[in-house]
Amino acid sequence: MKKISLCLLSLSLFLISCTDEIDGLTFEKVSPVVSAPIGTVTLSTENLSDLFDSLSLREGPSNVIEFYYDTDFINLPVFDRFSLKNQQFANRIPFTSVGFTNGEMNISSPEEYNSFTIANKDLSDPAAELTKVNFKGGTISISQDKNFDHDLNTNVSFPKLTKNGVALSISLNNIEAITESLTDYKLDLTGSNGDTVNTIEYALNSTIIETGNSDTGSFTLSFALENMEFTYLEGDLKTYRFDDFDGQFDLGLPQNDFPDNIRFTDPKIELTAMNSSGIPFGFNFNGISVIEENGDTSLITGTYLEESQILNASNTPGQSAESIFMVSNENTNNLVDFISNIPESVYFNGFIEANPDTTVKANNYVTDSSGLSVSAQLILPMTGYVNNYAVTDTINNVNLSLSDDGSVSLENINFRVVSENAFPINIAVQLYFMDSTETAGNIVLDSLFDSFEASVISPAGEVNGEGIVNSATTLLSDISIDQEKYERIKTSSKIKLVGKLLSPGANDANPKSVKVTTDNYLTISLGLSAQAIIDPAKF
Amino acid sequence: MLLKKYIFIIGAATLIFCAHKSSAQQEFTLYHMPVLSQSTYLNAASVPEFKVSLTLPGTSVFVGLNNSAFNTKAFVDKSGNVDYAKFVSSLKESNNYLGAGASVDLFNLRLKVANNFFSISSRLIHDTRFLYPQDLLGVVSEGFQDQYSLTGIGLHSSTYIENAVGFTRAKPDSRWTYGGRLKLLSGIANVQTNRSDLELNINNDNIYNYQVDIDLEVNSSVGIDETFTDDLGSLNSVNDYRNAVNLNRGYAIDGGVTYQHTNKLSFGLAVNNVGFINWGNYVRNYTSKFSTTYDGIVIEDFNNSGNNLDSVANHYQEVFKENTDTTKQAYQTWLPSTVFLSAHYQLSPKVRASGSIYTEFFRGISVGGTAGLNISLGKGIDFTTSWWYLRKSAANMGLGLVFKTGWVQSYIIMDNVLPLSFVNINDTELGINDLLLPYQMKNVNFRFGINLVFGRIKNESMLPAQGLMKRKDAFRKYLYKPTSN
Repeated sequence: MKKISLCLLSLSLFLISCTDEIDGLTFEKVSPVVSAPIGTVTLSTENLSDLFDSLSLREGPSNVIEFYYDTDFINLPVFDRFSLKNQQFANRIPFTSVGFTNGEMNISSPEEYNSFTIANKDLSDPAAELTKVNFKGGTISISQDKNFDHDLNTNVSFPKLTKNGVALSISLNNIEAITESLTDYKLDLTGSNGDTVNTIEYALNSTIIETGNSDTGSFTLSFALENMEFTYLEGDLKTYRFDDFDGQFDLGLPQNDFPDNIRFTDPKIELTAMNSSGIPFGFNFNGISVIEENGDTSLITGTYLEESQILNASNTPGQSAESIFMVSNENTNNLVDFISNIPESVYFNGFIEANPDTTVKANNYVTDSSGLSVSAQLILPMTGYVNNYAVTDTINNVNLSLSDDGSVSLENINFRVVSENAFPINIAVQLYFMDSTETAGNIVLDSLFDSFEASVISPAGEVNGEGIVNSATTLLSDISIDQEKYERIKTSSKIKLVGKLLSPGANDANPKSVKVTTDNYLTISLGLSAQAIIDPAKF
Repeated sequence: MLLKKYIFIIGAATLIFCAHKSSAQQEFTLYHMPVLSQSTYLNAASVPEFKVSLTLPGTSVFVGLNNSAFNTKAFVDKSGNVDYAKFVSSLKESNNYLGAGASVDLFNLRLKVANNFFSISSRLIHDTRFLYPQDLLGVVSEGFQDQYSLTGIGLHSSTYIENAVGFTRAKPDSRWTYGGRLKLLSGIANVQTNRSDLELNINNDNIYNYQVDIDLEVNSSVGIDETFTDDLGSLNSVNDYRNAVNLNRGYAIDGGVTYQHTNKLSFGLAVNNVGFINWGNYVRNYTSKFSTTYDGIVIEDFNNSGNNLDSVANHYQEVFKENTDTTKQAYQTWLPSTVFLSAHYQLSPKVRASGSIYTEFFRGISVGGTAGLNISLGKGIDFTTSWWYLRKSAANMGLGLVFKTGWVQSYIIMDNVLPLSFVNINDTELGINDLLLPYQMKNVNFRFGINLVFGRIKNESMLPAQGLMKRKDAFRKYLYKPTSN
């Protein structure tokens, strides 16, 4: 046991003699460099669709992107202006017994009624010249009366009043009245020659049978057309003032975020008329005025006021004819200025005229659903210029200290920006680092860039004479923050971010317009390389 | 002249095994303690002191932790300067490691029959090693600017049961003693990172985009019959596992030889763990080879960019999944073989000095050197101390103590738990008071347990009665200190 104790004691003494004292530790700092890609943002014209909530986006002529806003402002029925009047006519036919042969007498005669007419709310004279009517409802009643005592049988036929190709034929005996429905009957009003109007052709075939004693007399056939409704009218409905119109439609322009210094230089109001009647209409503006948010109203002037636009007639029942006309720079003097004022709505008034061309004979038709609608579309092609349009945002409660205890600080950081810009717009970004404590107020400690030129991180693509980008511009920028700058900005509590857009030539005395087309795009890639100083002693 | 020769032999061996690689768990002090039957785990030619040695289940345990880089010295110099960057620069580019191992004797019986010793043993062995490259830790001090490499990173872990039968021939009139062990291995679980090339290159001409090249192969196996179930999740009870167990088969051999050159000097050579395990049950081979780029978050749908971070993560998960194949091909792992080349010199009847060169073959070659001193203090007490050098670490001091009371032989071995130097750190600012730390220690191993021993081998039957004093027996083996009766 003594030996063990001696051995362990020796060992302990040996170990104690091998122990070094360290009083106080000092820590070497480490300064790792980390490089990393942050990401890539690609902006295509499709991404502009949500730029303004109220405006939609589409590809316009020459691939130019355009915003638009739709509104209907005229929607008028046409058919209800016409109605079929109740109409009556009669035939009186004399009788003498001299005519009996073998106890019978036959009387036949073609007849016609040439005053079939309609009522037009907008025109009482001249009367419409009708050639066809298709009935949806109504009746035709025929009554026969006589003043002799022989038997009388009569057949009345209407060769041009047909249903499924079969002419209407009615037989009456002695004194009798018969009523037939006109539903689904088609009436040709062109008469026996086919070149008249408003004429109902019919034929009478009567047989008198010698069963009495009367030597003379007469019989009468009375016709009544009542409660008629049509599915189709055809003829010359004549020229008449159809309707006056006025109204107001919203333009849908964003009132708050639509920038002042963006100017759309090719705005348009496109009017599209859909006419499902066979009547051409003349469309005439008395005026278009823009109404601003504060109620100010301004008249858009120009030649459009002098032009009567033709709303084409439909050639085929059941179909509509489309007519488009434009209120644009071509026929106005001040549309660009007024649109730039971001009007809230547009007021319009004018009148519509049926068959405006009096030099030709009209061949109109109306169905029981014929109508006329006009819609307006505000179109803002992305043709124009932007002059230092600024988008600002503020990031509050910023803390640029990498660690609260100072254990990690920044030696330097380099933001690498690679931009490929095929938009005709220069993009500049500036950051202002601010101390906004209560005592300091809003003091700008430093900015990211020293000049506007330096802040253009994404120059516009190369623009040709038409304002269209020929080729994208690529730029690699290194944005460095050294330790000195970091020391200046690290107490920032707020960062104001300002993005500026400037189209080439926007600053010229006569600003140049550029066009945003469907193949424009912007790709911005961002990476960083940062060197931190880590002081383990401060952990 | 003779000394020069020995120096030459040792020097040549050192030159041959001049590489330093990662390794499995090492025990050095045990090698110099033939009094324990467990020494045959390291030297099959080791001759014990007792005719019968029995180890009951769970009564002998080994636990070891080691690493290639971490110790107090790596971070703090003796003036108190803490330099992480210097520590990182001291790491090897690859094949740094952290390891842990353990073994528990399930049974061990060794018997002397005539001039032969027969043994049968069983033990549960676990070894885990995590390999890491310099860049893994260098990211804190260096970051990554041009290139970042995790090539070589990997996990190697095995758990298996070693069942062995051994034989040692120790004929008194021969200069040679030799022995061997045949081992039947039953693999329980394994993870093997067969290949891990993970490279990240940074494009400094653009926005520092990453080019990532991955070539990865990881194998795993569990000792569960694949036909029993294809889903480990369905094993819900002990019975389920019991029915499913189908351990992976492996084989290994140990061999050792000792040559008694003079009555004081002997040489030994021990080769251990030459063998392998075929992992064929519940195998999964994960291979992934692809290149991809990372350009940051890519926002193409400008108006719907809310979940880009998620989508980026999902994208790369998908890329990894798409490029990762999972197969079920059996594979083989070799055990970490070790070689001890040793020389022993009997300084006195009770004191023996030893020196050895240790070489390990595991994903490369590791070479170290050991010096040991074995002292018999009498009354069943043996004291062994060792000093060893491995992997640039010289401060490795081991201690072994054996006590015998009646039939019970108790022991505790602590490899390099007693490093050569300590530092006592005080720093009032950091609130450190008298923090005593080993300065250079990287590894710590413990082996402790009890054996039941019977029948001390009488000197007359085997060895010179008076030990070194008997010149007439100069050429007889002197494998341990003979007790004087």
